[in-house]
Parts: sequence; C-alpha cells; structure tokens
Amino acid sequence: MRNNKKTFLDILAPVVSIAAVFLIWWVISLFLSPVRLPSPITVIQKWITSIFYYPQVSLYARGTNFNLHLLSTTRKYFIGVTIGILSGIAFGLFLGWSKLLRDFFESPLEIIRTIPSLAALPFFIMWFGPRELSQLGLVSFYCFIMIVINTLNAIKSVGPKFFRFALTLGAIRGQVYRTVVIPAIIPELVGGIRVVLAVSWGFVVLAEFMGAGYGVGRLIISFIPFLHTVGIFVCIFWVVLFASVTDLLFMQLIARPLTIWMPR
Amino acid sequence: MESKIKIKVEGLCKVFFSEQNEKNTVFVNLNFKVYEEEFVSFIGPSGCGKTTLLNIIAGLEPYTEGKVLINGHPITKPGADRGMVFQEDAIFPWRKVIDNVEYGLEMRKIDKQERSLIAKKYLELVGLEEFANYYPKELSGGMRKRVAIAMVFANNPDTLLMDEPFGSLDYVTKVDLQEELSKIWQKERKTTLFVTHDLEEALFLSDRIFVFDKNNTIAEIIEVPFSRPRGEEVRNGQELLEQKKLLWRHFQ
Repeated sequence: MRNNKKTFLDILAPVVSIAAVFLIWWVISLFLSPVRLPSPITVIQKWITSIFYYPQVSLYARGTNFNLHLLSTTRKYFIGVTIGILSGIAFGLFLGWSKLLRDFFESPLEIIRTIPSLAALPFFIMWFGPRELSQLGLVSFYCFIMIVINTLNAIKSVGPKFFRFALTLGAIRGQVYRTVVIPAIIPELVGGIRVVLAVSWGFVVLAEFMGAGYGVGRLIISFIPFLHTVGIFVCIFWVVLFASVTDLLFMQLIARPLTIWMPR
Repeated sequence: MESKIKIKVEGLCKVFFSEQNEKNTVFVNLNFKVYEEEFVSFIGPSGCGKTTLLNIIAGLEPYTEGKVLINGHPITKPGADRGMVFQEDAIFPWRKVIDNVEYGLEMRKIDKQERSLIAKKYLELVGLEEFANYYPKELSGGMRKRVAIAMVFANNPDTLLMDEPFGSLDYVTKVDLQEELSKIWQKERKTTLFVTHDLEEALFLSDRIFVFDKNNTIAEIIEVPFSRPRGEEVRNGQELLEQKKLLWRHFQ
C-alpha cells in the first residue's frame, strides 16, 4: 500500500521555498524604489488592512476598502465558471451521444477555440454592456468552449474494450453511455476543469480591466496611473489566494472523491 | 444420442481492408459445428483469425459472406446470451468488484437484492468473496481475471466465449484458474468456445480441439479422450503428454 502520510520534510519543503522567495524579494526591494518593487513587508501589511480601511481605494477608485471589489470579482468568477463548466459538460455529453451532431459542431468549435477569448470581450461589452454581465459572460464563454472540447476528447479516448465488454454483458446503447462513457471520462474531465478553474481567475481580472463597476481588475487599472504598485501587488496576492483556495477545495471535495478508483 | 447443434458456421468469409487499403482475407469458406454443452478450443499460430472468429460469433464484428447461426438464428449483434471473457483486462475500474459482477444483472433491471445474492454466489465461486468492496486497482491481474469470469458467469449466458483469457498470467495463476474454470463448468455446463495457444490448457479443458493452420482454415478436429471430471491426475498424467505429442505434430 502506498504511504500516504506526509513526512515532516513534505510540509517543511514548501514553507522553506516560499520563505526563500520572500527573502530574495525583500533583499532586492532594498535596492529598488517602492514604485518599482515594494518591500514584501509593506505589501503584506497593506494586504492585511485591505479589507478594513484602504485609503487608496477611496482616493483612486470607489469604496473604502477592498471588500466590495473582492466580492464583485468572486461573484463573477463563481457564477461564470459554474455556468460555463456545467453547460460545457452538458453540451459535450450531448454531442458525444450523436455522431451526427458531433460532425456538425466539431469544426466550428475547433475554430472558436483558436480565437483568443480575450478578443471576444469587446463583443460581450457591445452586446451586454460594460457592466458585470459581460465580464461574467466572458468567463462563462471561455469555460464553456474549453470544457466542451475537453469532454469530447475524453469521450473519444475511452477504451473500446469497455464498450465491447458492456455489450456482451447485455447493455444497450443508452446504458453503455450512462454506465461506461460517463464514469470513464471523469478523470480527464476533472483535469480539464482544474485547469479552467485556475485560468478563469486571470480571465475575470482581465475582463474587469476593460469593463466597468467593481472588481480586483478595476482596482489594478485605478492604481496604475497613480503608480500605486503596492496596491497592485495586494490585488495579485488576493487573486493568488482565491485561486489556491479554489483549487484546494476542488481537489479535496470534488476531484479526489470522484477519482478514488484510479490507479496512481 | 445426437446432440443439438448450438453454433453453426457455414461458408464464412471475412475480408477487411487495412490502413494501406490492402485486401486482407481472414477466412474463406469456413465451416464447423459446435454442439450444446460442448467445450471447444481453438488453437493455432498467432494471427490466424481465432480472435476475429470469436468476435464474429460474439456479434462484435461483421462478416463478409456466409452464415453464422446460434440456435438456428443468425448472429447480428452482441448480446447477453453470448458472454465473453477478453484477453485484455476489461473489468470496469470505476466500479467496486461486487458492482462489476452485478453489472449484467443491473443492465437487465434485476432488483438489488436478487442481484446481490447472485453476485455474491459467483464471487465465492471464484474465491473472491472477501474482496467484494475493493476497487479493481487493488487487485492483481489474476484476481481481475477472476472478476471478469464471475461477471460473465453471473450473467448466465447461453454460450461462453473466451479469448486467451489466461494468456497474460503467470503459470501458477493460470493453472489455478484453469482448474477453477473446469470446476465451474462442471456445475454449469455451457457451450464454450475457448481460444488459446497453450496445448496443455486446450487438452485439459476441452471436449474437442479445432486446430487452425496459418491459412486460417481448420486443419484438424481432435476429440479429447479424457473423461470428466478432470483433476490434477489428468494434467500430470501420461495420457495428456501423449496427446500433446500428437497435437504438436500438427504444428510441424
């Protein structure tokens, strides 16, 4: 049986390496101006206070602290990825069922996939306005396209031996789809979702650059003209925290339980 | 007493075109009969179409010409009446062992309680009752093969098709599983078609052996003279050795 227990070294190693990064950062920041590279200590201090009172937000943007902005970004993210991923899986399974539909949709999908999703943002803004809906729409759109393709590829790579076995055991087509295809694609699906979940954080921030309203991206845009580099770092720290927590929760609550049967 | 014919193959031709668009003839005018409750082995050199033949009878592959009949009816598609144990490991890794064995019964909408009882019975028959709640990844190759056998038997097919099921296993496990198969088959006599490379295996298990040659035709049909049930004495006996020598001559 595999030894699952984390040794002391397993926990120590990441802590030491992150501490080392901070140390190097701090040393370099001593030689550069705070606009170029602020000290990590300042960044962390501002990060902690950012949810209580943050003067630069009231000066350069809206609100008194980061809260409304963090809420806005996370709300767009979660609604966007949920709609995008769920509809992507549903559509992917739908296409997977019918060869006819698949042949019809596959080429346009592959073409759309190559469009840089950010290039689609102006269209969303034109159609849905500059507010939250377009930004959310962009996130959903990206997730949807990526997940549909991921699902289709996963279906294609299911081993034919499983189909054959199921048929000789008396399963009919619908049953084979439900009891063989769907469980078999879960590992690949989970892999694709994990990537999409991570990248979508970047997408929502970038969408906020160009849109209006609240959000971490809006804050970054507001801080740039005033050279408030510390604030930009604080924004990045928040996004990194959110992305890490999302990834952790996804892996522990969804990915691991669903793939417990996989040989590692 | 004239036994009923279970499977009849008449004038079977199978042709396919390779990736390079070359015409490959697998069979030309193949004819044979298999009787009810008979255990028949197909042996012969690799690549002579034994697997293709089994797949055709399973309904998994089409054929070009001829008739393939089971109980007098032509075979057109796969079904639970022809259970197949494949050479590759095809049990479902996402289901626990017991859920695997129940699969066929579940597809036939047999209720949970009855399914459970039947599945447990066949798991016991292959000696894996302790592993009912394990995932296939936790089992060895031989154990997974046993699960496959339990799955197929639990589904109670009319006919059993086995494509070199013990091919990838080590000698000891192989002998073990051969004896288990023989025991199960004694209890539930099903018409069985068994593909193998192993002469000893064919002699130990079968009533008749069809020897294929490299032209994909049946060179010889051998009646195996040993009485049943066959135990260790048969495997290690002088008679089997003699028969093996005779068989071996066909390959020269």
